Amino acid sequence: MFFVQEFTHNKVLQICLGVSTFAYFIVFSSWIGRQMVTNKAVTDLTYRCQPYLQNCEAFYFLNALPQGYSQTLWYMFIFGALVFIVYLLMKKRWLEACILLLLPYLWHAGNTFIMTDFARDNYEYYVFIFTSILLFFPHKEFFIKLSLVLFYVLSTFAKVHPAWITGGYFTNLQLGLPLFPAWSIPLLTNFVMLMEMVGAWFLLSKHPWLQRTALAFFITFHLYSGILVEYRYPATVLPMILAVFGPFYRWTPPPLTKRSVLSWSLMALLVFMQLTPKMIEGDEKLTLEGNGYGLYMFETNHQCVSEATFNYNNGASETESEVSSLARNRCDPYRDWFLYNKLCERYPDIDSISWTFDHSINGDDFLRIIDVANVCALDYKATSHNPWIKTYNENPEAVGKAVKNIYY
Amino acid sequence: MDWTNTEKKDGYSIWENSVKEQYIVPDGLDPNQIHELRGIELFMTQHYTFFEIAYWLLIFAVFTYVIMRHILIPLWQRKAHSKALFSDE
Repeated sequence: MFFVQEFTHNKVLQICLGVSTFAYFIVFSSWIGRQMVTNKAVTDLTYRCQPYLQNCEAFYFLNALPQGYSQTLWYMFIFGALVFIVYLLMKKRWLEACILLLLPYLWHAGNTFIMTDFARDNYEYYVFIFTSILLFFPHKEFFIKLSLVLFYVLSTFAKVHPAWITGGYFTNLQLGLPLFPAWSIPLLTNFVMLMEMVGAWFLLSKHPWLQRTALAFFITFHLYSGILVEYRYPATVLPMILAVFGPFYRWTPPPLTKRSVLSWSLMALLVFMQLTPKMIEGDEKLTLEGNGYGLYMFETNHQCVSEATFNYNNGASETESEVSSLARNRCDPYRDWFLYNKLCERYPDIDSISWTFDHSINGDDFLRIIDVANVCALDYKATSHNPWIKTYNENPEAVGKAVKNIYY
Repeated sequence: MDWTNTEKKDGYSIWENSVKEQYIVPDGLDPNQIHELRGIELFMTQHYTFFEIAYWLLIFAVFTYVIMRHILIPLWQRKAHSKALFSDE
């Protein structure tokens, strides 16, 4: 099941197992105290389910501090397992290490794809794919390398957009791009896109000069990007890059064996998932429909205003608005739709909730993409366009212009 | 720039400038910081469609080359030598 013989004489794969274990330490260090899949999150309506599984709260059983000890107890149990995996790796007991790695792997995958929408994140996709290959797929070394290259290439599917082609993501930030002058932003964003699209393939090259140049570029890229995204992304990707493309790099021929068909299928699935937002009508950067089903790093600079009026059965009404000027905060209408629908389910005295949602991307006008009389009467479809969200083709009203915003 | 604060809302303000354009300015942002297209960014914006098509063509070309060169051609060569399409280990 684990193709464990591949680890026996392969130093690169042995290091990769350690890197995967390290990644789970990083992930769970932030999840342990988070009210993400806890009973309190349900009580406070601060949870959010995946668009394709909208009643995930049925799976919640943990209580985080200060409501209870069960979540920290559970995560410390996983911590113990991770420490024991480190011991097993040092003792070169690969099979036992793989079996024990199933525990953090399954918990992480369950959170990422089933239990909550909050873990539907680029970084979690990386961790999930790396560990999946290490645990279940043959020809591990080659496919870890190929998956890293594909992650770069696939990320550009989301970047073929004004955010990167004109550099609008960064030129619309008050602080601009770190260390570089504003005029150079479009040159740099296009250079990065070309390197991710074409240059990344040279990480797999036989030729040392080409391979080392590509490696140096991507190491520099990750160190630089950390100025914006901080530790989590470079800590997830860089150790794996150094493990497979660093000092122990050797050219690995593409395996064309019967056994490799499974691994090639996984690579094809990655490409397919990255294309899913393109299969949904409208610009996913504006509507956010399907945006999270593939990689979506720095896909667009967002600003939004969401305003809802709660109309009660006794004739009273109250209005609430929520504003975001943080470029990184994806203004996903699904987030508000989910909250309002859960409120309507829970409180029968709410007669209706009228809702407007104004969204600006890359400094363009705020467009009123949602203007509905009662959001609680609407369904959210996870895999196709929701007609109550306006696309560019429907000419949503421009309600205001945007000023430069901030990245956080 | 001369601004008139026309409306204060919870979390943001509506500002209007001298040419009567309305700006939505979330709290903490400076209404004077307006982005204007210029230089290379203006050029890229004016020719955006060209670059968008060029990038998709490049992605398609790179994928086609990689799949042909490293997967399909080796498989065809193997088949030409009367071996099974996918070898055993």
